[in-house]
Amino acid sequence: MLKIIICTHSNLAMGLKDSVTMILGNEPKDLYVMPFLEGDDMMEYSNKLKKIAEEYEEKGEKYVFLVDLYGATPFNASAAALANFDTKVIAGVNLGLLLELVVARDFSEDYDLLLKESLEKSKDNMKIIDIKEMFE
Amino acid sequence: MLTLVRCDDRLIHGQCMTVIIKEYDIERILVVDDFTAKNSILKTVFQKAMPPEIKGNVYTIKDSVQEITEAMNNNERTLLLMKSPIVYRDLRKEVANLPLELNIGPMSNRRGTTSATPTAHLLPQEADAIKELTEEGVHVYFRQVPSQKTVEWDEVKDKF
Repeated sequence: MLKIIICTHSNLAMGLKDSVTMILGNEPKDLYVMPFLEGDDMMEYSNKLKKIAEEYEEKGEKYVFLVDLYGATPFNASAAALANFDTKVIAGVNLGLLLELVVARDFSEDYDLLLKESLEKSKDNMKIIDIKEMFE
Repeated sequence: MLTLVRCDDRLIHGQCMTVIIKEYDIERILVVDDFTAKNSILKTVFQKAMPPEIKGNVYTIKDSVQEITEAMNNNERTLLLMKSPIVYRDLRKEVANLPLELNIGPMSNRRGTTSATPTAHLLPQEADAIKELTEEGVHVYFRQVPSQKTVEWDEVKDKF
């Protein structure tokens, strides 16, 4: 099964995992949190991420890193950690994306398609709802 | 033009991308860091992970001299970014007429650092570089983002 590693500024990663656990009713397997905390060193953080990836690479497991912001430290550290591997990172993780991935990975063999469809669905989930119009 | 000269030991990251670029209307980021410039993976990450409207380049101190000189003479709003005030002290020996203003942004709590402000921690050699800079007439101030109160070097220098 696709391994998911969430990398965020501070505790957002733990919060996302807690929320998914609440919605699904139990803690998802193969979902890991790697927060970048105040005072952490980027290179040390990146090396930790690299060790995780190396372990999956050795076992031939599929995995994806979900980061909060493109171009920010959790992304920069992930990109540097994964530079030698043929894998993917998704930037802009949110609850919709994570939930979609966690549920859909059980039914998908096509890794690239899974990521693409999950991203599209999480984008569809973001919208402005005009409340006045809604109740007219 | 050099719109802002700034130290931030994480270089380009979330705060820089979301607040600094917008507040200062930055068009180009010129990063001067020997370690990153000589590490091809990190260099690629920092240069490519940019919004499409921003140009970002990473140089060693040596290679940055010409780039900085050019940036000072064009109209592109440029952020000169480095990890430490030591770099700015060294750059001032290489490039004439650099701005007499240095913004210290977030500097993490590393081994051997003393906190100047709750978010800026300095190694003794970094504090020494700031002392040299201020003696040369450079205004050194601490501020993560423009909405925060500025802390002047004079207010914290006795900690070092």
